[in-house]
Amino acid sequence: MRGLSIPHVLNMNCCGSDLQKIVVMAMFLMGCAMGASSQSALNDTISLESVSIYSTRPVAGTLSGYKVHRIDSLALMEKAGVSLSELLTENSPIFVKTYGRGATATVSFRGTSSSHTRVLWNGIRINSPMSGEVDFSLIPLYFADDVNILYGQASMAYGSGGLGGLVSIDSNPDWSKRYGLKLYQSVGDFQTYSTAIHGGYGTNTLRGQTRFFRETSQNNFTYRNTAKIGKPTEVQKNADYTKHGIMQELYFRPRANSMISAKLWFTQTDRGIPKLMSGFSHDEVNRQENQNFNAVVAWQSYRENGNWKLSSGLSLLSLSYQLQKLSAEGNRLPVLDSHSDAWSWYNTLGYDREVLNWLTLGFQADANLHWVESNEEVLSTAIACKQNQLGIRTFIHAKPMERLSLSLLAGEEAYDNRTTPIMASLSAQYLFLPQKNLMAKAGLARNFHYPTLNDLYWQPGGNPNLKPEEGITGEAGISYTAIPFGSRVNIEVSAFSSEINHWIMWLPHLKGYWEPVNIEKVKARGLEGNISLSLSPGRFKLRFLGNYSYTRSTVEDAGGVLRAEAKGRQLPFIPIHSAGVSTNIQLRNYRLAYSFTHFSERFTTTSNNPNSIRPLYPYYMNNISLGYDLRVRSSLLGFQLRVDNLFDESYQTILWRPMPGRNFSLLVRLEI
Amino acid sequence: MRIRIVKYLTILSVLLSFAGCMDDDVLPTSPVDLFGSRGVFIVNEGNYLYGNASLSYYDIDTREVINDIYAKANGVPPGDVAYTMQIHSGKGYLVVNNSGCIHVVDANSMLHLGTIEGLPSPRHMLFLDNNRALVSDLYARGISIINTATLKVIGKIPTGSSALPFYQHSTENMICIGDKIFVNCWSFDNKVLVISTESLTVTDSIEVGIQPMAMVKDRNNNIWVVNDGGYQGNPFGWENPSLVLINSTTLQVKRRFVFPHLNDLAGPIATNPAGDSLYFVQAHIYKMSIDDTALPESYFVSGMGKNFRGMATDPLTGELYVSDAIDFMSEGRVYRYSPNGAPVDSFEVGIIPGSFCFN
Repeated sequence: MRGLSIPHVLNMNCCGSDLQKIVVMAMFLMGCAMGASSQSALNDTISLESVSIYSTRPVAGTLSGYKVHRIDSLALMEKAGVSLSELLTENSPIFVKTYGRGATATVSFRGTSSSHTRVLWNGIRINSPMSGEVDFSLIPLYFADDVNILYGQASMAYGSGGLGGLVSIDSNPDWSKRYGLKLYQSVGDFQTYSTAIHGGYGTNTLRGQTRFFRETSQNNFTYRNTAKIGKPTEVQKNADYTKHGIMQELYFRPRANSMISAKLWFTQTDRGIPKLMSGFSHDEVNRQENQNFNAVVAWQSYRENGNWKLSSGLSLLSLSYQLQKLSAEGNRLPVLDSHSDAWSWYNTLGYDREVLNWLTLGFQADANLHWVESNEEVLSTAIACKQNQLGIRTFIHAKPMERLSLSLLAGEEAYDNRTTPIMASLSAQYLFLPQKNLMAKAGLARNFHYPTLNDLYWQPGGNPNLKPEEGITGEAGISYTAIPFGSRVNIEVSAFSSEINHWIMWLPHLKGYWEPVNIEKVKARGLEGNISLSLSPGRFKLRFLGNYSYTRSTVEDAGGVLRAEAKGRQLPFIPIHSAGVSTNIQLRNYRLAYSFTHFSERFTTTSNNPNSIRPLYPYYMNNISLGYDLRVRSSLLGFQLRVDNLFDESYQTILWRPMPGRNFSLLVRLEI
Repeated sequence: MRIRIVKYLTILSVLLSFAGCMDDDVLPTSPVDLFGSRGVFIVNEGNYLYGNASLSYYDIDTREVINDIYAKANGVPPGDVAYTMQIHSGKGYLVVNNSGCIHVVDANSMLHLGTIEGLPSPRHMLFLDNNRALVSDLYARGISIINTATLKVIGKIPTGSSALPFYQHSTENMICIGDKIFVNCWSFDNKVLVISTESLTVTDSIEVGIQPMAMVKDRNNNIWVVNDGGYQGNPFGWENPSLVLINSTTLQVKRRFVFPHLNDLAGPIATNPAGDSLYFVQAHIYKMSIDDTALPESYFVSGMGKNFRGMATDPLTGELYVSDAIDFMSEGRVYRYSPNGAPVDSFEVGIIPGSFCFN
């Protein structure tokens, strides 16, 4: 199971080549591009330039029957300076598994693994072609203007692989101002400093945006070490991180209905990998560096005879990992020194047209190329491989009746001349009460996830004959919106059930190395509920968001590779219950935000036996922030004081990796 | 409007009441007393970087199993990848490979007495005398010498250097015969090193086969080494697994048994208490006499597709204990056989049981 893959692949028990395991670990830790997010100021007046027409908001958001959530700008602004993983944890049922503050964070969506969540950044897929995963800690929110979550089959409009769903991060032009400058500076506990600059300039037809950010932290928090005798208070070491990035965007819209954009961004993250709480290793070097470079050029045109979209992008994901231990001679010697580069070239062509006023037809085609090189110095091993991908998807959107919308999608992909099974989805949406906006949605889809380059070609263990993972999902939901007395209430409940066949799980080979195998059947099913409320009593503005999800993801048939008792048991690391609440209160220039997140216990073994192996206890987290905005004409000076882990809880989200207690940070924001 | 605010604030305060509910002091303790009990400790490695290693104890007479006995006695986990254990002078020494330490406990109460630190990647221990012990290491290119009274590292025996490829020489099992200590170097390697007990330096080396995983000595004071042959893509090489017999006086390879297929999986080895028979694992458990000149045709105990990880014999009764890691992500199992191969018992232990220690 991919979500388990980091530790599994890392299982360097005795009789195998321990070093090989570390190399695979390094590869799995490889992060991808950083989605960058810039915060738009929370203005009272909303620009009517209809930014959304030119934004790369996913087409699927307008399609019927799909479940898409947009994380609004208010939430993005509250989280300025914090990472995307926290934003997702608080605003969606996505479970984020984080190895520590500033450390690797992977997601699990609808009971699937981390590689089953596709992530698009400005239209480029940033899942690593090697591991299929995305490290969300590498994506700074300063570079993102828009974050959308597409559940389940909604992801299929963008290609295969999103068995759980898709997260889309976009940077958009702000045509409302000719010149604008935003400066952010934040100072926080554990010597954490963060600086970001966002400049926008241009005319009504040509616009440029430049962004830069830098964040460093010593991350030397104190914690109670419950893994050692006497439970001493210790200071976290070797968990420091430095992240920086730069982004340049250029937008040209020669006519009202077309736009050409060019975006370039680079990010780098250097961090130490701290030891477990139970470890005594001294004088080790354990460090990782991620570099990501992306460039994308896109052309969009909206006309009577159809809408076109053409884009071409280049992506480079680099990962370097170093592990050194003290030798018998007293000096530090390398145990692992690995480096990998993954290049990808993405090309997409999309067209859709309203052929009748109730019928739209369209297609999207991709042609992608990957090439990967990785080497390890201590063992002098190297691997290099290439892969080309072709894909075509066609879709039909129909509105045969006033209240009924239907969508049908079918697609096919080919990887290195091996064609995949056909992917298809059908969904429908029916509007019961137009005034109350009571809607019912239902969908059925067949999606698949092609094995990653590590799955196919990793030495040793990779299996070029692996079958693609196939997901057959049914989902249904009801959504209700009401607008009583100037407030707005939205409630949405949905249920899903997926059967995933040939799930790829890495298991140890008797020779000691790990190899991926297709597990016959995994069933993931659950319930999701969302509620959002906004009201303005008197001079207050209140916004309340709540989400809850129930997820059962179990192995139904492992073909004998897992113990017999694993059948019907929850997959490790997937919580059954996940809930979050986020409240925002505004009064004149003051803002108070509070968030609460909960995950139920997570099992760490396939047998889920609480009597023999301890599960990870349930997680409760409270964060609060207080903000004040000072407006001078069109400029804004804002202050925000954040308190994370409000109740100073001592906890772990990964076994024996400490997390900080109550900590503070102050963010100052200037927008001109 | 006000009612609504009150309603929301109530919801908030209800939720706030959950705060402070994370209970990370979750390791309950219960006193342990093994006095008078004869049994075997099973060291469970746990999953790498999970820190879920554990120690189990099996009482040979009552057949009772106490799992997680270290945490039960001490309220803290042993660490990450607990590897081997030895009992010496009433104390238990638990080597935790990826925590870089050895925990010293009282052999009856399992209470923590001290921790030896400063060990990069410790594997096995060999007691030289009442005050000193050697600790082999995977990455340190050397063996640490520790003072068991002060629990400090007092010296090192270098077994390699950065001049050698990979991180040679890693060190694993150590066997003392007379004035020589033999140590196998398995990781990207094919040697057994010979160390003099007087000078505590490496004096010789014997080439065996690729990846000598384990070593045992027989009643003739000769050493059996199992080489697992490497794997496809191994930068050091790949050959058929083999079993090699070394004469500890002449330091020559006396006999070499090569397994028939490149893909054969050679596992743990053990001798019986008399030292005249050798058990080895190759998909199944086989038994051979130390005087045999060919590998046995038929197996002693059927493997039935299990992942045999560790094997040991009871020094008193000669019963055979084998551990099975099953799927590596849940409780493992130990099987107990009589000296003639009849199953006696089987019980569940911790994750990835790797080695045994009889008290």
